[in-house]
Amino acid sequence: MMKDVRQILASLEAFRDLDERERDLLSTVLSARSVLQGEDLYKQGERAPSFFVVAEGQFVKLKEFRAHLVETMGKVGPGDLVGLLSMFDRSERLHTVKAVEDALALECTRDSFDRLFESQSRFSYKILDKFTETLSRSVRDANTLITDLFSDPKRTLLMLQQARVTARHHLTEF
Amino acid sequence: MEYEEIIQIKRSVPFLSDLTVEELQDLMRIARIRIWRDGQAFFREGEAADGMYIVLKGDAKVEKRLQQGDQLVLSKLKAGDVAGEMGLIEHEPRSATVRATGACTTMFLESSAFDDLRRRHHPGAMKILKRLCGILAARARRLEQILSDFFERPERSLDFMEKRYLRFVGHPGMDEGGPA
Repeated sequence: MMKDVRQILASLEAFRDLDERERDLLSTVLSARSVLQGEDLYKQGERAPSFFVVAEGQFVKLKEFRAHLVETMGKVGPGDLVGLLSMFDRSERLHTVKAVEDALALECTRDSFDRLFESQSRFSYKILDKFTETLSRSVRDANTLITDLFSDPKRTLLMLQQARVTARHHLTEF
Repeated sequence: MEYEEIIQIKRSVPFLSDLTVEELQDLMRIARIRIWRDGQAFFREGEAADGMYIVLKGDAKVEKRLQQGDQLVLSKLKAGDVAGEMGLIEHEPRSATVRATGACTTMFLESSAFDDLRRRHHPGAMKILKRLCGILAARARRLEQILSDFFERPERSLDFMEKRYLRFVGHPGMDEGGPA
């Protein structure tokens, strides 16, 4: 049986700073979605202006390159936000997010978020703080990756040689 | 600042276009205008972040220092663009250097003054934060695209990196030690 969204929010550390009324408000725009182990929460390339709050379980973020190479970009767990970029710019998903165990996520669409945002200023501040924190981390992580690639050419060359071999064999394992 | 100047900023800076004239007037009370000469850095990579810059006139470039000492230009900025926006919300070291290319005028928003607006739930500060989220989302997407391009075309990237490696090592032997 599906849990009540308000109870789920109350159990998440990341939302403890919301009071009961704010959690009630947020719960009106979130819908729970169960994802079984091995299933995708969403796929890279899909267009869907929404974001998810991970409520239970662990997901892995996967990036598929044209060369049939799939890289793991990190894991997300309870309280983490995923899919924010597509929510903001209404464009395609950058990653596939796959459940590594049975999991539960809460989805909020852009339209619902906008409605909520316009009506509750203090509450909106708290949510915006979470968004900026998550997005800042994404930018910093990508910056670090790029710096690492260009700062250690020998290691990067080895990775590229591996990518070339992988592409030739069309391997899709990760 | 004169009313006409406020209107001009509202029209020419997309980042601030959602703010009402009154909200913008409040913001300008805490902002600092600065004029830069060609080559001067607004801030340097590694420095503690203390706020964000908005380019009002002129151009600038965003540079990243690489391990071998050379610079990679990440992007170019023009009037209306923002720089160092992450410095408004966190105090991590700057991840890049931003430098004027020609004469340039900026508006600086110090994070401590902006925090004060946030604490008072100033509607203008909230609009700025929302706009900031959009910018961060676009930036994260662009950086991801750079990474994708790099691995999606391994032959081209291999060629680029081999040339780069040879510049610093000076011989083609890939198994004979790391970069200088």
